[in-house]
Amino acid sequence: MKPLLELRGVSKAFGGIEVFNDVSLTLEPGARLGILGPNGAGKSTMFNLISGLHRPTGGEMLYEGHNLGQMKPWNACRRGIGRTFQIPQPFGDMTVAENVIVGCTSGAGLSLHEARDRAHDILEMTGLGDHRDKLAKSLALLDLKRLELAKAAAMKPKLLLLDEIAGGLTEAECDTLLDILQKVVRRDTAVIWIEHVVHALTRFVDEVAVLADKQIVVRGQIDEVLENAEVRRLYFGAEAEV
Amino acid sequence: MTGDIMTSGSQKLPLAVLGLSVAVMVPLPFFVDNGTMRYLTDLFIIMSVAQLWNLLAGFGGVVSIGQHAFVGAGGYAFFGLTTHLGLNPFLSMALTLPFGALLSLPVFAILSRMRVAYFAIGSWVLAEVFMLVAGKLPGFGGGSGISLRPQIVKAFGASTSSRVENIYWLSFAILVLVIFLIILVMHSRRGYSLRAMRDNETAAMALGVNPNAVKAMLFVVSGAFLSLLGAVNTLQKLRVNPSGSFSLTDWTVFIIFMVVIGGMGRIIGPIIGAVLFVLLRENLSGYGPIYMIILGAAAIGMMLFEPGGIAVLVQRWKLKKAKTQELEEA
Ligand SMILES: Nc1ncnc2c1ncn2[C@@H]1O[C@H](COP(=O)(O)OP(=O)(O)OP(=O)(O)O)[C@@H](O)[C@H]1O
Ligand SMILES: [Mg+2]
Repeated sequence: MKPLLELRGVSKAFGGIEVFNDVSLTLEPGARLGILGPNGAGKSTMFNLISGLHRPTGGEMLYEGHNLGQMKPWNACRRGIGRTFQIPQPFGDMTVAENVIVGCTSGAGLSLHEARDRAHDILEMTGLGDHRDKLAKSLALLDLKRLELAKAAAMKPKLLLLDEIAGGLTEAECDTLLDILQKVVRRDTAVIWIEHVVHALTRFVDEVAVLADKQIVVRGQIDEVLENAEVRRLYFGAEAEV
Repeated sequence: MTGDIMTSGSQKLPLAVLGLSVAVMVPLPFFVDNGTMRYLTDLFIIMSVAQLWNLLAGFGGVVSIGQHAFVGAGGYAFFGLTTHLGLNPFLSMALTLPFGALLSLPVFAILSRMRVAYFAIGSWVLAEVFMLVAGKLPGFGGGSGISLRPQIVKAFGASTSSRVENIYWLSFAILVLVIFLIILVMHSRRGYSLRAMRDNETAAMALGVNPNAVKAMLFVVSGAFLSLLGAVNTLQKLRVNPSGSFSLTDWTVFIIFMVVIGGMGRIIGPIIGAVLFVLLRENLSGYGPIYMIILGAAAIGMMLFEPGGIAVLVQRWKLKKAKTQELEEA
């Protein structure tokens, strides 16, 4: 199968500070990949590159054969790349439903009428139905995270980028989140999920990769990767939540 | 009760006010004298200009201090189309709309390459350039300007009083159209993109919003209507001249005052602001420069004290009243 996403030797530096210098990654359509890695490894930065918000310093990024390195964020989105932000970025003075409608109209190109319907469905699925007419800025953190997911999922992306949506959740909340994910993420949507909460990841992704030392150090089945001595040294020395 | 001041509140109120004011304003010429009508015409024109500035800055976050360029250019275009090309005066006036729209495209292309502060300063510099060019154009009377030919003016009414009436209705119709259009834009798909962009530009971009396209649309709409208003203003003043037609003070400085005082990002803001402005002008203009200082101080005070302007102060006061009522009932 032709890969949906392909990163080849991608590097990124801010000013003189290099975040990573050799990230290579391929993702098939519908594949589900978890990303692990220590704080500051550049995981969120990788999402910023893929979603077009930042430009890579070097290397090649292809999405459905298009050069992603030059693509504007709104075009990346319209071509089917949806994302959440690690720190929720709501449209504070718009209602929860309106937040989702933006993604449906601008991102997925739906009419306002269709967008309202889809927003309604997604909000029900994500458990935000009761909050639909509240201003987004009035939501609590947990609901803000759900709104991030709702906004990105509503545009029916081909590639969904999830950035630490399970961070800080209790066990029960985590279960709910996984239920929600199963509902809103269609089977043919490819997903990359950055997450420190490994037990949540294991229940959703097919594979994991570890971003550390400025590159992807290992990728494979989750148990294999967790057994990897290098990974244990790099990552779980610090903060295991297995 | 949600989306209050920003959304639902600002659509229900203006629609009701719009209907009521149409019922009052349209038959008014049958009851008042020419002086009052001229005064109101003036109010409608500046109120429309204020609405358009608010559309850009208040709704879109695009702060231009050079919108007087379009008012002036529209006035000159109207003069040129009627006097030099000999076109029908009504057609000429209508043509100032597409003229303003077309003119705003290259202007936006230049300005959109600049960041916020530079955008504002760049827009002002461009407006100055427009004014200088207008003063050099052959056939437009140079620096001192030139009067419209009587037969062009007479096309809008044979007698002075019928003309005053017609221009009154015209400027009121434009005001209603502008407000209606803004409401329409805000409730279109583009309106959602616009509000998202204003709240959080990065997140909006990641959800498919192209901020430049949204801003360009606002700029074109506002450029088109400012140009039309410039034509109406020319008809009202009976002449074009660089310093008057392109007046920074009249079409930008005072306008910003009105929007800031009345309330940015709300339809009702520029309406409150413009009314307050003409009332202040009437009562304070005898004091000369002090009048400008008072206006400036009021605007700065408002920005510090309540950036939402009078519109928000009133909203707050109403909420408080409703709460005390609830408490009393309980
Ligand atoms: N816009 C920016 N400008 C400058 N430096 C940045 C920027 N964004 C990220 N960085 C830096 O890049 C490095 C990687 O940050 P990033 O947020 O990608 O890490 P992360 O792997 O997502 O970490 P975490 O697990 O804490 O979320 C950090 O050192 C950070 O300070
Ligand atoms: Mg991160």
